[in-house]
Amino acid sequence: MLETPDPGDKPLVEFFRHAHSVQAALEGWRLALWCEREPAALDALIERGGRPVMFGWPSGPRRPFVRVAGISVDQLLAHPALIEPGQRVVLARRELPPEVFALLREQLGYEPDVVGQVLGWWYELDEAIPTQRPRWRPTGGLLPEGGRLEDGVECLVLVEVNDCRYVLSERALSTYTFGATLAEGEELRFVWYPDGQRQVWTVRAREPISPREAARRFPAVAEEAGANLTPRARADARSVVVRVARDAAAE
Amino acid sequence: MSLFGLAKPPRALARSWLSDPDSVGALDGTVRTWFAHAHSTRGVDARPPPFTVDLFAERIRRAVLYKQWFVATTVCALLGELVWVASDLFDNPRAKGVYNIPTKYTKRSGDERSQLHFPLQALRNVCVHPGLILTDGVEPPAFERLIAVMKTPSVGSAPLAEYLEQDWARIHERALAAWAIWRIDLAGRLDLGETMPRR
Repeated sequence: MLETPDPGDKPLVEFFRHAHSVQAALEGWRLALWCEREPAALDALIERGGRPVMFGWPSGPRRPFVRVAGISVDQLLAHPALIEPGQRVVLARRELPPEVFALLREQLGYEPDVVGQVLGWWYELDEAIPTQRPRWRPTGGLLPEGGRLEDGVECLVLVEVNDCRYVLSERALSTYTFGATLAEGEELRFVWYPDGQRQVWTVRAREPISPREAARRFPAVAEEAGANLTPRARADARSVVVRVARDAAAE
Repeated sequence: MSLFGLAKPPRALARSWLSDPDSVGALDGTVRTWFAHAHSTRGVDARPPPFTVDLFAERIRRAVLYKQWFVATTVCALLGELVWVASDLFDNPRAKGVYNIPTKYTKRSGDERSQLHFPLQALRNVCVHPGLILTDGVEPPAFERLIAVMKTPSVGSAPLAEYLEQDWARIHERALAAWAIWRIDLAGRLDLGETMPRR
């Protein structure tokens, strides 16, 4: 489960709260960056209309007042220097163009995905599996130990929360439909489509592992998500582990 | 039996955000974020909520599949409450965590979100207070409130409300499930904002 800003950092909390509100979604916020101070040259670019890219910064000593300003995605791409080291990504919707994520990665080290992740779709054993890749976003993710999805390999389970992937913890397991099935000791199918070819894997939960062991066996989760606000895995709960087996008969 | 102009539950469900994995995932993530933030700012253990958009959406889909209409109706109301409460806890440090739409919101005609959640709140009271059928002299029974809300112009379900008024046991019927799915679809679409694809 994800964490949120330090409650003592009131300006950042205010900005975070608004960026994740219904109002911000309706206003069209897609990217929200928290800055220590107003970015240079931002003033000349501020738009009055739609503002998918929002900057926020504390306004002087009388905390928790926050100032915000918005620009378009095109303006951001035309002025990449607006993104400066020290800024924090509060919100980055997946529908932003890849160029924006490349910019965030280069300038801030922001990475919503986990290196080595395998994305696919969860299915119950009695559910029909589509032959074609579903048109909706993947419903599941695995992080195989050793970097390759192979028979008998153990994997961490990844979930997407607010456009960023995190390691599923034991505490959150039963809060997902697929997780509730795994928690009951049942098998599930994980389907992915490398190079357009369907692969079906049978998945069964194993004993969860401590954060320390997760970091040792899966080095990618120890790397923080750059300028994101949260670590990949909870430090106060065990991580869910599954074992996978190729199910060629179901393919 | 007439559905009072509403789509049949399977069709209404198929058209709704509840059948769109992207939308369910998006709202599920948003609600998780709202709860996590509310927990952390209150300094309490940030356990994920035991009820989630993902699980409630699945329960509604299964209830419709097996024609368990009252279950579908009730879970729609609970899903509305979950989303509203998570948002309320996120926005308001004094929020208690129940479906309590402040009067100041309901009086604001421009607050579309409150207007969309108000019928779901009335439905929730009917579903989770099965013995609340007598008036206490101050508040009307939950059924009467639901019927009154359904008859308001902004909800526009007067014929169905009159049908329910004739026999409260009709809460178990398919027509009420169709209405509940329609209402949670509307409320969820607003909560999802523009991030939801139009189907």
